[in-house]
Amino acid sequence: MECREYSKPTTLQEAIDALKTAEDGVKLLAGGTDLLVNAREGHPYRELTIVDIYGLPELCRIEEMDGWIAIGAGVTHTQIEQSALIREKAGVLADACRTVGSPQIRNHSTIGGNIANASPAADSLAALSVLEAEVEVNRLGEVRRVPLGDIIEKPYRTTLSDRDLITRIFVKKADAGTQFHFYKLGRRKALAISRMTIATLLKRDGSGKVERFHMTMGATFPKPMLFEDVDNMLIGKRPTAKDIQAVADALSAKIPLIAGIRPSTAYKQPVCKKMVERILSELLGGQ
Amino acid sequence: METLPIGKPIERIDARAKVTGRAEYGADIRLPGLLYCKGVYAAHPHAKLLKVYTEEAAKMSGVVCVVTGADIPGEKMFGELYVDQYALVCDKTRFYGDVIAVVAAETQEQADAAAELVHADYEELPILATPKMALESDIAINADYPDNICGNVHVRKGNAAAGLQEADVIVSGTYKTGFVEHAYIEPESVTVIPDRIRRELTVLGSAQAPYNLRLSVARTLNIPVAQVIVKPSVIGGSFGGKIESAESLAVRAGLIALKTGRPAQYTLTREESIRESYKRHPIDFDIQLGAKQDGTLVAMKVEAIGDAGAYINMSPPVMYKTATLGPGPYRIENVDYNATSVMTNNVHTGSMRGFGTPQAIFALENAMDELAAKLNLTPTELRRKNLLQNGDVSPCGHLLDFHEVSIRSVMEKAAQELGFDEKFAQYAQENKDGRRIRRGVGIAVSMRGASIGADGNGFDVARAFIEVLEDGSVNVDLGLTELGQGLRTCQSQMVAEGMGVSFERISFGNTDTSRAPATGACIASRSTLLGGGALKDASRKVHAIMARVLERKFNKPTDDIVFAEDRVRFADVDISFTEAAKICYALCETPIAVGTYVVPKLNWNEHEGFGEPFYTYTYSCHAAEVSVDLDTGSVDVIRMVGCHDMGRAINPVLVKGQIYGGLAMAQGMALTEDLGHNAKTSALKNLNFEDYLIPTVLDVPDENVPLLDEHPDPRSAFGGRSLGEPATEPGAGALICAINHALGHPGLIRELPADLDRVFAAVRAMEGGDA
Repeated sequence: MECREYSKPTTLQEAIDALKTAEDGVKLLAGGTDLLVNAREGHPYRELTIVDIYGLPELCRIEEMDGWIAIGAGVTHTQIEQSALIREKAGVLADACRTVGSPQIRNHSTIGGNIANASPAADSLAALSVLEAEVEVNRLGEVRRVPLGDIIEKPYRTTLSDRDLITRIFVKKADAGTQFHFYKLGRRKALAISRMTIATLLKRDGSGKVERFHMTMGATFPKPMLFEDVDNMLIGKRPTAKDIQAVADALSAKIPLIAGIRPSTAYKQPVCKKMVERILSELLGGQ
Repeated sequence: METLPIGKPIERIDARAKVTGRAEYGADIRLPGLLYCKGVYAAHPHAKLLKVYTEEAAKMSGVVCVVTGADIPGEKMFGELYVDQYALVCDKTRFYGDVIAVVAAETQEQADAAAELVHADYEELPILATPKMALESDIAINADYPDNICGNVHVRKGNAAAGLQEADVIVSGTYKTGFVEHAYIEPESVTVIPDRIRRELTVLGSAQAPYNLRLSVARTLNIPVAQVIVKPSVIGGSFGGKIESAESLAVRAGLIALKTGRPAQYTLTREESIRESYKRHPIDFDIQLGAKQDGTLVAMKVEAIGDAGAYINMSPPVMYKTATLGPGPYRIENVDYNATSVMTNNVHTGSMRGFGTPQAIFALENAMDELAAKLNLTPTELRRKNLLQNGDVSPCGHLLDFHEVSIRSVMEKAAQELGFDEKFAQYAQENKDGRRIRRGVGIAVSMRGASIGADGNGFDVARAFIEVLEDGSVNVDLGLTELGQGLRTCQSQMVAEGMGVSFERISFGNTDTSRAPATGACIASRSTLLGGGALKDASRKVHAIMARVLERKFNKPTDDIVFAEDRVRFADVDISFTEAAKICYALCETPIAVGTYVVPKLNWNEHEGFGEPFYTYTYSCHAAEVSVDLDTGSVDVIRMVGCHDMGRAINPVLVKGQIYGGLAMAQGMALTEDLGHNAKTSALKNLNFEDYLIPTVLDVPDENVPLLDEHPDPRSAFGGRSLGEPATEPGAGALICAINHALGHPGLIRELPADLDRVFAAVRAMEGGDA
């Protein structure tokens, strides 16, 4: 790979120091499953300094913190998929990570890299959205926490500066009894760029009344989004077939509303509607 | 007999080298002083090339030379049957894969960097990006073909128009297929080494057709044919794809080797490979099929238009196979099958496994299902009424009285394995209950002419060299290439049987055009039939030499001589083969022979489009079971069964391997593979395997089943015909029949690939837009 300079710090502090001293134009390397592929076309990094943060020990942990799970930005998709904690308390993310690329890619690609690359088709994003994910960013030693939707601006563009380093991703721990669902529609069963993903989180009380509900799509909008108006449609209800239908209508209607009418809309909108109906009917099947 | 090597699942001779990584592929080759090449592609798909600027590139560090078409010393064009392809374009560009210059440098990175500095002046011409545009245009892509039509084969038997009038039921409609990439694992790589003493080049790398390559290099670089020596490396798949594609690389690298006196390697990236290598023809079919009320086929009329792309390549013979094999293995009296290839500014199209027939079988077999539905017959009932049997006349007029016409038992075996008849009824019933994920089954049959056929009348030949050495080992040199299909192992098995010796004695040389006599290429499902014939002839000749020597040595008649099981027996003599070999050398005799096999002249009337289009045929049936999600258009292949009568399976494990691969290849063509062709600009969008979607291991069912229905062919030396192409031929048709069955509407899907959007759109149309 062609670049102006390359460094591989061994601690988070060294990485921050490297970012402090680097000239303008820094690219962080956090696995390389996107970055190294992109390097094959043209010379995208010729004028950039590459700081390789892959495997920094501070970024490779998964921990419980109060109501949250903190996932190090350097944790791989395979590690998330296999984490007992995430499977139990944030299962939709484990399911989403299992659909990424192929085993070889999942073993190497990181959750932080997936966010920073900001591909609209990234499989983790819809799942992170329904888990109300927040991103911890370290800028030259100063730490802040930002909602996921504020980090990604549009396809392949984030609001981060080239001195910002994503250190952790916080996802809300779900209560026992929460139902998760992740659906990926691809053109084939592996190594498929998502046509659409749908992530669902649903919690009902003992009487069947919905307490918490988030449902959104990936590979559909320019950035990760949650829709309060849609989610509220089920809160406090024991949903009927009609309610399910209403959610399916409302959620699929977001596609032309937000992404505009595109050649793919004729496919995506009706498919979204049908699949939302199917997923909710399945999750609420016990009713 | 138990000890005979044919029919045994002998381990392939290259298996261990391949799985351990010891095998050397083209791009693995490293030589002292090796130069690396990089091509510069045309910026416009159709433009006069006014001037190419190479000066800046030539000055770059590490660059040793830059060549353009002007540097080619011999003929500017090459080609197998039609000489119209440019390895380096001179006068004008014809498609986006044309190369205007090649840079050679000390490293690949230096060559890549310098290639970016080559540019050119163009005078743009209108882009003819579809056959329709090319047919309507005044502009000729190749001046020798002013109407842009470069091939036409018109098969006629009986009177199709009258037949259709007599039919009780007619189906008519159009079917369309797209460009398909071979998708071999190994992109093309060629290394050319100049001789230090004379003007001679040795070519290594991924060459499917070394003798054709030798001619192309000789023609363009002005070298005697004998001084172009081709030694293909281990080849990582080809499927027909590494013929002209490898030749253009060899011409370019050869030019650099001659200019610099240094070896030159030219390896394509995947994107370059997909951009410049030829594809499977997209073909539009307009089909009419008529039958009597009882299901008897009476007439078939088909107009097929194939997109030849920028060069003629193999388009005319591809159209020959479309027209002669497109009518399927049916008894039908009135046939009119007209196949035409049209030049465009698209990527050129040529040889690819099936060669114009997987498309035709897809169209025909789906039309057959439409017909069955109209007649209230099941797909198997309709086929049973019409499939050929012994003594029938083929749709082209070929009396089939020379081998077992097994298509009926082939189909029954496949149908039974899949449980076709039961599932056809069961799914049709259960799909009525409103479920959104439906299942379906489909079945498709084909007959495949072995080898080139009558359009190659008189030049369909193979030659092989066999040498018995003093220790009784047997050296074989045969110019048919190992492409991954297991040819070297199978041909060794045939030599062992032909020579009457054990498999272990056979040493099968790496293909080397300076050692093995010129032979037709390993194409057209011909190598088992043709190679077997040549090996048998060579064996007979070596036996005759040995018999003569032994007669002299023992002074006994050898009229009854038998070579079998490593023994030589005649009169009352019974000696080992090794001893017989030693005697030959002790008496200064030469047990060496070249065998020749040429396919007998076929009685084919080209003008009338009628007669014997091929020497013999392989019979095939694929059956498929799928599920279709009506809410997404997603198709899941549950299971495929491939049953084939390839005569005799020389090595049954390798045969089954070919069937597994053929089914997977058919699945890709049917469901996902799409090059993203732009019908205005002619550009291809999907140039790598992230975007061009071949099936993954998760997409191909573990439950696929290969079946053999063997009937040794009296027309083949060892009873075997080839299976390379039949293994994929009917698969796409069967899959689409299955999808259409799941949707309850034969003929609903009429265009390949049946991807998410296309299936979903078809479902919407069927359900009246309210999905």
